[in-house]
Amino acid sequence: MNQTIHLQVSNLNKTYRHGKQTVLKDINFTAKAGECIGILGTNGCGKSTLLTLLAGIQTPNSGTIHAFYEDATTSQQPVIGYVPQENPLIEELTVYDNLKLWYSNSPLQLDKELEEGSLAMLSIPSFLKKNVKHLSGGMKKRLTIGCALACNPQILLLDEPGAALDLPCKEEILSYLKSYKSAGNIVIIATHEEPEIALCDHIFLLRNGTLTEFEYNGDLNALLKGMS
Amino acid sequence: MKLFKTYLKLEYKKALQSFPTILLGTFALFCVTVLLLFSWQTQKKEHATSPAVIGVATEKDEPYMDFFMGLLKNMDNLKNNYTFTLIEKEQVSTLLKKKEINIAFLIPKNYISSLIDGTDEPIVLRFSGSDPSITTLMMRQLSEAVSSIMLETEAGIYTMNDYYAIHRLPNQSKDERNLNIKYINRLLTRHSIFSIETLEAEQGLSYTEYYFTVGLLLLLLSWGLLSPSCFRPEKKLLQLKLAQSGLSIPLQFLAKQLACCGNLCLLFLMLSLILSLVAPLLPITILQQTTFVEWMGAFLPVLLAIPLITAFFHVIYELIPDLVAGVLFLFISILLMGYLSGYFYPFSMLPNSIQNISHLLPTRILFQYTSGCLTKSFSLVALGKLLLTTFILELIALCTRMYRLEVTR
Repeated sequence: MNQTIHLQVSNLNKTYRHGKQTVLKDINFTAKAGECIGILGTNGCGKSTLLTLLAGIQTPNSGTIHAFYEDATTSQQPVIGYVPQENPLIEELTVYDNLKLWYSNSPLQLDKELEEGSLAMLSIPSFLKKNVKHLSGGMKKRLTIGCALACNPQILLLDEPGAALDLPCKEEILSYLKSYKSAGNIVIIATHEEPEIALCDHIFLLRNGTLTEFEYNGDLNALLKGMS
Repeated sequence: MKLFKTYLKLEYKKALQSFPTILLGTFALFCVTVLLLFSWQTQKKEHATSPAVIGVATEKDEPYMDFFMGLLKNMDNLKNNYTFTLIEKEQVSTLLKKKEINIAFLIPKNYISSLIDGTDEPIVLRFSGSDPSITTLMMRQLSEAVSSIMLETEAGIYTMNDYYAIHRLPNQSKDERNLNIKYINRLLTRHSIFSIETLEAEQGLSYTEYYFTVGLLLLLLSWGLLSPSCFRPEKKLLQLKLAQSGLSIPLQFLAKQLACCGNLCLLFLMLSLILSLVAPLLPITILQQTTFVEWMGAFLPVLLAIPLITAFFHVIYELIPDLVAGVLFLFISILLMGYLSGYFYPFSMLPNSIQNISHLLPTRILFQYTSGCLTKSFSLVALGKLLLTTFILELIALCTRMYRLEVTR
């Protein structure tokens, strides 16, 4: 990627139940190319809602999400890939079938990615013929990431990618994210895991619907204090 | 368009996975049905050749028993199915236990005299309890017969009493006894005590056609229970992600409908072909009589009913997406709607108010169309109703899906 991408979120608000329940209040942050943003917060604080808003799956009540190329010569916008907490896969089909669905516009790219691209990095070819319902949690997560990468996203949103995974699997995903970030892409990750927090360049705490930046220096106690 | 094509192919592949389950389930259901029909048929034949034995238990010196036995033996409606034999009261329990008799009539002492005097005690019917069908049938037939005799006798006695009282005539008691003996004699010479009326199963349908149509529809409806994963909507997040990628919710819905419908159509064509070839060869009378069901003429038009069946499943699974709850809800819906559509007994037996509502049910519309196809009385009106209902159900299913996703957003 030659162009520098930028993500700008301004005054984002989200309510449920016709405005009775406020989930997000005036969310503002920016992310630049090669950065990893960590969103931290207690369960149910609105991290997943924020990511679905950024992914365009839900619509905000107000505010803007602007992803753009800083030195853009065209009106083309960066693509956002989203890896939700719950794996959006068709359980009855094989891994290859699921990938085919998301790579339907570029089947040749699928083969290429499986051979030497991101899918190979995620070790997906080793379980390509398996039925999704027979996969382990880690395999499903890697496949979900693989599906999210089908559109060649420049911004990758991950919702607790390491939850309930074993250490080798976490390590594999983490090393992939490092290489993805170093390629000049943006990673936004909602997490509770220490190694993923360590990967982040900026940490934001989501509490009572508001997002505040936290200066993380490796002190977990301070982080816990900030969250509570 | 590429995404739609891929999604359609994958949905069809997913639907095809339910093929073995449906085939196995259908085969199991078919085997059970054939076994039941065969045993029912055999049982019917056995009953026809060996009627149920009824023991008439009395005191040793009970008067008029030759008249009573003659009355029972001459009842035309009973004599093909039941044999009456005179036994002693002490033998009843032993003979019932040994199953030498199926039912015992325990006649009270001096029954005929007490009947004439009007001080009669009821006849006790004692069953072995092992055959509920005989019990029910016997109870109905005999209680009707006895009530009829009692009522007529009592009416005669009261009329005669009144007549003797008004005119102050002598020898009332003697004449009453003579009159009753004459009445019993008249009963003995009767050819028929009962007349049986049978309701038609459905307007213009024979029982074979009726049962065959219902059986076929219940089988088709059971496919929704056998393959819930085929009809259930995808995870909300997957639907939303696909919508974001350019495959709108109505298009996703259309792909699913086409895949499921195509799969069921293929299954139906295959099974109906097998059925039309195998059914006449099986030793089951009702299936041998189904020669009216030809594959080309009768089964092929039924194919148009498959979209309605698929739409019905879609509505149920869109309303209740949970697997277990959805299957349970579908099962209850089939039973309830089948009940209200006359699947389990003649439709004409339902109250008129319910019949009017039932005409709106998809199961009733399915029955009308399918029975028309199978009996080659194809009706365009029935087809129109079928297509309209399919469209309405699909619309309900789609709106439910859209509403659910909109709430999420």
